[in-house]
Amino acid sequence: MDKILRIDVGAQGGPKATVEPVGDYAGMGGRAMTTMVVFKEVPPDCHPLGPENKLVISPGLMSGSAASSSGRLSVGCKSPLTGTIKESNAGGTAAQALGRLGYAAVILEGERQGDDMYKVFIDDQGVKIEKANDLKMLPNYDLIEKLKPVYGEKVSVISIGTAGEMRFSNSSIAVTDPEFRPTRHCGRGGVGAVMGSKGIKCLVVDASNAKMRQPVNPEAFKESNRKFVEGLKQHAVTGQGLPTYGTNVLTNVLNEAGGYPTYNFREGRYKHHQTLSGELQAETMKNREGGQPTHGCHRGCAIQCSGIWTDKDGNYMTKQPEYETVWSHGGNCGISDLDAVAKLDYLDDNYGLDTIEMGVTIGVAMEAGVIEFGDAEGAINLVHEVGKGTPLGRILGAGAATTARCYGLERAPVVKGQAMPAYDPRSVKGIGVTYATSTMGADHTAGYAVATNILKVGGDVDPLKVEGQAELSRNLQVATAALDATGFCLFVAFAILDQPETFSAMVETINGMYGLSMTGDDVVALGQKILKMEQEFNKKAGFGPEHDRLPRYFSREPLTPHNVVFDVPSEELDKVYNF
Amino acid sequence: MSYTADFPEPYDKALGNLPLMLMRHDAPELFSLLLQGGFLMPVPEPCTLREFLCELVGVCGVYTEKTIQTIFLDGLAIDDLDTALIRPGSRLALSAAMPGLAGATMRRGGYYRKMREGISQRSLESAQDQAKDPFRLQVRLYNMVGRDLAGLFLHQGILTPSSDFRQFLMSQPQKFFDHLHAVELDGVSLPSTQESVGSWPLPDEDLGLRVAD
Ligand code: SF4
Repeated sequence: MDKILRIDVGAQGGPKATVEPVGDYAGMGGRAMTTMVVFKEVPPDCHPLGPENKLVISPGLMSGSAASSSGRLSVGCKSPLTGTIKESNAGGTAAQALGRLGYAAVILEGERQGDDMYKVFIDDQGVKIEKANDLKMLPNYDLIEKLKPVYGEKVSVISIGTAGEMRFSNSSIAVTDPEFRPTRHCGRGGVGAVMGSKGIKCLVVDASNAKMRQPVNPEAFKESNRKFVEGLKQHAVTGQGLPTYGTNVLTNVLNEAGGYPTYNFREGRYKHHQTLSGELQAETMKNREGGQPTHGCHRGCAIQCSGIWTDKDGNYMTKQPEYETVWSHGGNCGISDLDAVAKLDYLDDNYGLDTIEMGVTIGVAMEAGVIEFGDAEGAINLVHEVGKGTPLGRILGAGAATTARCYGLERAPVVKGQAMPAYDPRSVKGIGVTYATSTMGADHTAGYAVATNILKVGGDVDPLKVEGQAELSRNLQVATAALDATGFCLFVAFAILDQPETFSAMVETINGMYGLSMTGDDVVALGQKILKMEQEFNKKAGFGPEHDRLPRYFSREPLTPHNVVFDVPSEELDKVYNF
Repeated sequence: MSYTADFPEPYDKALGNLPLMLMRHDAPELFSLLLQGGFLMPVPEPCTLREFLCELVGVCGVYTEKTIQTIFLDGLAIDDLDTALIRPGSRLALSAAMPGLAGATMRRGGYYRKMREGISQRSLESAQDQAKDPFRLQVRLYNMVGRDLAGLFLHQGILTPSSDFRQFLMSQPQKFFDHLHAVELDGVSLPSTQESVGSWPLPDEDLGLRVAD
């Protein structure tokens, strides 16, 4: 991956592609690349939908190689939802395709001229950009159907739905999966709106004539990748729990912990949790024709946490909804029917919406009395309103914070304007610390890479001492930032945590690929570098420690069943970035 | 890791003297959706979690340490099986290790347990301080643990509301009934086909259920 594709959307006569050597950005990939480009090239005080913002699309460092579970694609920009820097990533097939074609990044930049929409085609012969007004305002699935006869089903597509075209603050960028469906989404932060503001509807990437990326040290690479896969397969979470049940295996457990936000974060347990559980989801898929509980979002994933959801008659409905989606549209809205959740997931993917933001927004709308809690049909109609851009839909499409503001509500579960995911911060306070202090707004993946005890980020931490929360959260954020740069899926984190030899195998796989001799310390240094750039950008964009807070009502309203509030002191939160 | 130890003798043969359903079924893991919904177990007197699991039910050793990685008692995350006390009114949930930071946080004795300090079990009450009366414990078995331990718990016998049990049976596909070889309610044989479930004379309230192959 030694080149960068820049597309100047403001060029005379329509968007113009320039390919340049990777230069100063050599060695960067995934979140490291998106953050560095935004940090260096985007003025922090710009408007996210203005000409100065850029959309950076970057495969992880290992994407396009034979390394297992390494097909994550990062997208970065200044976020229309939070106003902070943003990195949002997804699986799907596009990272591998871009990696194989040698692109370390694709950067959309400049000021769109006129109202035309464009499509970009990238293959081993180069880049073609064409006017594509016939694709205007097509939802993602319809878009894919239209592209299929032209390009076949072997290409990868990165696209926006109607939400992105209308530049909603809740809008995602879709990536196609191995079945050529637009199911994997860079969901968080409204990245689709930035793509829409650049007038690019889709990028079609055809790597069918490109070879897999070859390692510098093939023997070492092969051997360490083998050990890495072995480690993933033998671990209870990555080898059994995730492939069998998917991420929704968490529903029952979070509910038991009293940390499952229900009815717009009013309660910590949902009485119908079993009807939404991963156990029921897996069983249903096994018993329905065409259903598939174990499936990889891209080829070469050894974990395979994704799946295919079909209706009672065996017709495809959507991918297997993930835990966050089942929660946001399910328990958070009092909806207890997995088929209704699947329908909502499909609509979110089709219009190009982040499922967490959309579900939380509907929860806020329910609290405001727009529809009743538990009204599945009503929720489906609200998503249609968003996808079609009705006046109410435009309010909802701006996200949970804006919706709460429009209806005069305090109870918006957001940090820096972004909806909280599926873990109540009053029960799991350490996650609350991460929601509050993440450079991205409330984000569960910011502290996902649970390997800090092996990485020894910032020295040995005693997690039981009083100041442990801030230190743990910081270390998790550093480890996550580093992993987000590699292209490895965050779900490898569990095997890495428990099995030091699997962590070594992962680092050795990177070393074998690049001919390096990195250690855990170098991984930590990369994570810290990324976070520092992000924090610096946010500071210049007007964000200080006072923004690193949860909404006050989380400290005031106790959460049942444990009657706990979020009581981590502000001084503690302010320590997270002391490094 | 599957649970492989021999089934012990059931510790409570009477199962609360409720109407008793005995099923001959050779794939007890197919009952796991019933077990995730919650059921009751008779307990002779308050005891520690380890005593309940190991001495009564027969779940001991490597499986307990390696696979049952996430435990909640009354909604509180449990780190130590020997101090967690089961008493009247208790609600127990057993699960394998879970993904993500939330999963890591909830794990027994996990590195990240500080992050859920507010919901960790702190009480060090002793079983000695409790009245020695029998009671019923609410149990939920989740994910892999539910599949692995279904045979053992169902062999011991569980107490479940008849309505939940009937609802569970009605939602089962034919595959479930292919593994069902005989059914008895209080010693009276019932037909074991899918179509016959609706006509089974289940009691109005709770029933005892024991499954063996
Ligand atoms: S573990 Fe799941 S999300 Fe991660 S790469 Fe594999 S299928 Fe995709």
